[in-house]
Amino acid sequence: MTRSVDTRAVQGVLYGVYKALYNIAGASAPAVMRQAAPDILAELSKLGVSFECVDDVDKLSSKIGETMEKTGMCDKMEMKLEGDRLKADITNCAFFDLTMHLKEDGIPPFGCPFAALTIAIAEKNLGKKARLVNLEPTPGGKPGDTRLEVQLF
Amino acid sequence: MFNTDGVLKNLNDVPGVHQSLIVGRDGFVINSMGDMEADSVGAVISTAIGAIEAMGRDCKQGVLFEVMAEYKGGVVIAAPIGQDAVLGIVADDSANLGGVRFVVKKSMKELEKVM
Repeated sequence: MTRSVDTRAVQGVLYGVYKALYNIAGASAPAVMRQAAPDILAELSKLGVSFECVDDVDKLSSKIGETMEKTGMCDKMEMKLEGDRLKADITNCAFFDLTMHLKEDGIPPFGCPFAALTIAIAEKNLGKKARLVNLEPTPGGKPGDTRLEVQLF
Repeated sequence: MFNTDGVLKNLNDVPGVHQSLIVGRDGFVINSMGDMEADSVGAVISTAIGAIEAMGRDCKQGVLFEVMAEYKGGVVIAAPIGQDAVLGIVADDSANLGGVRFVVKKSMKELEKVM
């Protein structure tokens, strides 16, 4: 059974959880997301979303983009590899308002699901260590457009 | 990436110390030495340091220098390296705690220079 949920309600719940996590773990809050990401992947796979076929950046871009778009988390997600940097452009991120609300309260975007899943899949399927190095509104983009950058080691 | 092998080797050479690692605040393991699940240990140590810092902040105790947790089997020591990383050490109950902490303090000075 599928069911629609008002994203404002989901963002309200996430706002409370992220704020509490940040109050408890401070600058180490991203480490919590690092631990959460493999479980998020496992839960998604129960919904029929499998990333097993992902073994290069093109497949990663295609698969994660398709998943995020299908689930309504964004309108579009495109990735490209530049040297050791994996860059993703996200169009109309569903969590943008939440991210901005947290930012107003001095809380960095440590809970970004796009970043968490990109890192988890890169480490699991591409055999690389990965680390988020930048996440910001896309320069010159519309509200909701976001650019993230992950460094691969 | 900075070469921190020498610092970790010095730590692991202390009798009783089995594992040491340097982990980013985001849980990314920068370097590790010794037999352990470094990703898992690193994430936990980074999160624990964050929580202990929050406790100090709320109790108005100022900046955190070091954490030492004593268990039946030994100790885990963690210390923040600047704003972005954490040093973690795992030692068994045979370790001389004073000796370990001395080496940790010395290592911190070296790490703060290179990181």
